[in-house]
Amino acid sequence: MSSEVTRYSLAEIDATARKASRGWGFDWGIAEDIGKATRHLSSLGFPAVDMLAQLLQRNETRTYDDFRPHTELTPWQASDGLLCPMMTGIALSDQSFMFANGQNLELGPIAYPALLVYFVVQASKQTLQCLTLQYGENIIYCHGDVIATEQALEFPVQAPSVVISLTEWPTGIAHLNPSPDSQPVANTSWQVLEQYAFNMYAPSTEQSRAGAGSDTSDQIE
Amino acid sequence: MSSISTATSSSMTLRPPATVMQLERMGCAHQSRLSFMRVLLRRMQQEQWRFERPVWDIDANGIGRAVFTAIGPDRSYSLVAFAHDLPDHMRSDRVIATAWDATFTLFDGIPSEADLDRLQNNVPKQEAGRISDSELSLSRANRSVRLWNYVVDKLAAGQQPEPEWIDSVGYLMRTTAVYGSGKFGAADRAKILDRNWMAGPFRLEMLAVFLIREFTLQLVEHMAKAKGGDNAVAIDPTLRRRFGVGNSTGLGMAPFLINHPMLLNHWITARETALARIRDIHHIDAKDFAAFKQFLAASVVNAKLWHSEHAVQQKKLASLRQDLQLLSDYVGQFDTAPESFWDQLYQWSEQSLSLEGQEQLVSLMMEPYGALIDDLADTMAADEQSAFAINGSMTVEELLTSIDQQYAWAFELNNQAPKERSKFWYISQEKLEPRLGNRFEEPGEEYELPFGFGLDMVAMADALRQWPADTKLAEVLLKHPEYRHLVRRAQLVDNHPYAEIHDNLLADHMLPIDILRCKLAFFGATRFDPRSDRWVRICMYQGAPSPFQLAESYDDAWSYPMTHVKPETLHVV
Repeated sequence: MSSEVTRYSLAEIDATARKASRGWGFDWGIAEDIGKATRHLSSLGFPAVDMLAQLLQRNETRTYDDFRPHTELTPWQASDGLLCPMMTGIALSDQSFMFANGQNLELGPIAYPALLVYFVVQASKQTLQCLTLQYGENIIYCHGDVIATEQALEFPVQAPSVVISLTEWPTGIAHLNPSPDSQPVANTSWQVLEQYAFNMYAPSTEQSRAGAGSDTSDQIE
Repeated sequence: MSSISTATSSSMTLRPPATVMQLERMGCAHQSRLSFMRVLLRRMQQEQWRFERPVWDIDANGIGRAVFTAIGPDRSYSLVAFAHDLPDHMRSDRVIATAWDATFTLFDGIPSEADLDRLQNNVPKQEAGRISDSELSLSRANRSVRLWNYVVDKLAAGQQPEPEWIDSVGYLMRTTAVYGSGKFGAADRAKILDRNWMAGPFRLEMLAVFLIREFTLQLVEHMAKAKGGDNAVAIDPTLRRRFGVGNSTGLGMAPFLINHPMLLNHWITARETALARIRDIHHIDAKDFAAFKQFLAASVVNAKLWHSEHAVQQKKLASLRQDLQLLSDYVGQFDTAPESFWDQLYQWSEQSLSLEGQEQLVSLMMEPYGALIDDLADTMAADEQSAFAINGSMTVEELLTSIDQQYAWAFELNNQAPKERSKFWYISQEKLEPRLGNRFEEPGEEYELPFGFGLDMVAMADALRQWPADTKLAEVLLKHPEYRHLVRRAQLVDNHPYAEIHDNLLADHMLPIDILRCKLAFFGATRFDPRSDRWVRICMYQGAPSPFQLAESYDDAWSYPMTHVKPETLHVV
């Protein structure tokens, strides 16, 4: 990964992640969630744009049905063996009512498990419960918008398993506070997103441009 | 037709979405007390904001930079302006232009020399440059060549411009884009959420435009001085207010209201709540009735001064002028207002006036009642994230019940008729701007944006009727991710009845200028002058005091041509 970075506002990160996801081929509503997730995780200092860029590239040869979770199984698993964290996160957020019933959730092998954090936050907000997300040695506590960890987080390419469970809010550990500031993003990752985003733009035609706005001749008033 | 009770009084009902959210009516919206420009100036006056011009470094050719600073009780904001020498052949209002007469950014605080140097390397490039967390907006403007040259020549010769000349254009420069909220590296909206009322919708963008207006006036005087030397004069204070800032807005703005349904809901809800509160007034004070008559007289003058060359708008203006005459005649019958007159008057308008006149009346009735309705300005911001997550525990039956109610209008569309699908929205590769294509004549349908909410909602509902009624949406969406954006929207609309435009945005008769008009009226724009069915010129801040007059001489009636209203005119009504 190139060390060259550019700072992007959270709004730009949201919009570009959403458009890239749509350009990759995700449905509109999925792309909206991916945009919001990438924005929120970036505000926490996660390398979310890097992870999304790599995820989209790794998913190039896969389809939705390959990597979406089969939620009827325990643990949740993908047809081709590796869950997409965005699709899994969306499903767990949609099914957050299970946590209100005291149920835990186990996930099978999954790519970029840190990307789940946004969706666990959503589930926590919807159920008003404190939830933990655990992969490897990493434990992330989510209670509404407040997130806490016991140690510096790792952002692995994949994890063999993940557990999301109800818990008590811990005391004495560091909070991760979202920042409204622009975030540094590796240019190479941004370019990947822009290339995917480009797929959703239509080539202009003279016909479509006509009348979209004024032209120079309008200055003759 | 259903009605909606407000939370503030059980006796009040709001006009139903089926009435208010029709595009044709939205396209007749007028500025009001709740419009963002007026809210901004009112609040700045109340808080006694001060204004300074710490930098004016512009040469005799009109090239250089300037800074105008607005100093509030908690924070300062500075317009950083760059003036350029733009050859006439390069002057274009299109968003795809690459050079302008002037470029601007709103700086968060007071910029240092280093900030100004950094901005000078970026702001003139607009989209091709980068700004930072310290900047809150990015914009540019072009001269109205005819009025600019006329005013420079007049002032340089020691003469004042003729009021008729000023009114015929209304502005020295028109902005062609005002970007905010994190665009091109600018500060994200999250950075200003803790700023009290300045966190309201478009407050900072409207502040930037207010300061741009002052910049254009001072620049034209500077150029006149450079040309005329000691003979040159400044613009007479009585004429100064006649200059606004123009704005040229095309299709790029139209998707905003479509993409921000909660915000649209809050804006409309505020206006409708204001109307309901006023219709609920039983006894009308004589001074309030007299004030209404004054504003009505001013609106008659405004309609006379408002010109357009576009056939659609000319027809609407003719209707408005006729409506205002009818309204004046009707109100003129009363020396004092009968009990519950506002409600009676509004009901009369529904029977007697065109949509233009009805919506003008809504704005006029608000004018005497600042103490009753101005608080609603604080309800017009939206926490869009709060309604983003989908409630996956909702059942198919519950969703269908909501869609059947909220999208009843869409079930009346003929989804097989080509005229209902003849348009498609997309984003152009060329400038990454929204565009509108003809589905049956142009390529590019595969790039369509999902704006056919009426037809799509009906199609989804028809499909969902095949599912067991108690199926949770989480299960449906896992198998049908293509419904996800529709389910999110339907759930939002279920709780936000004014969030959706009740018209088919793909239909052949759909006019994008109606969407633009609605949004721009909430900004506080006047003199809508469509140049086609998809772009419009407007005027902003015409009649407003200058920043340097604001603290001592503020008059909230500035957006009406009150100064044109002769005393005898007032007795006509």
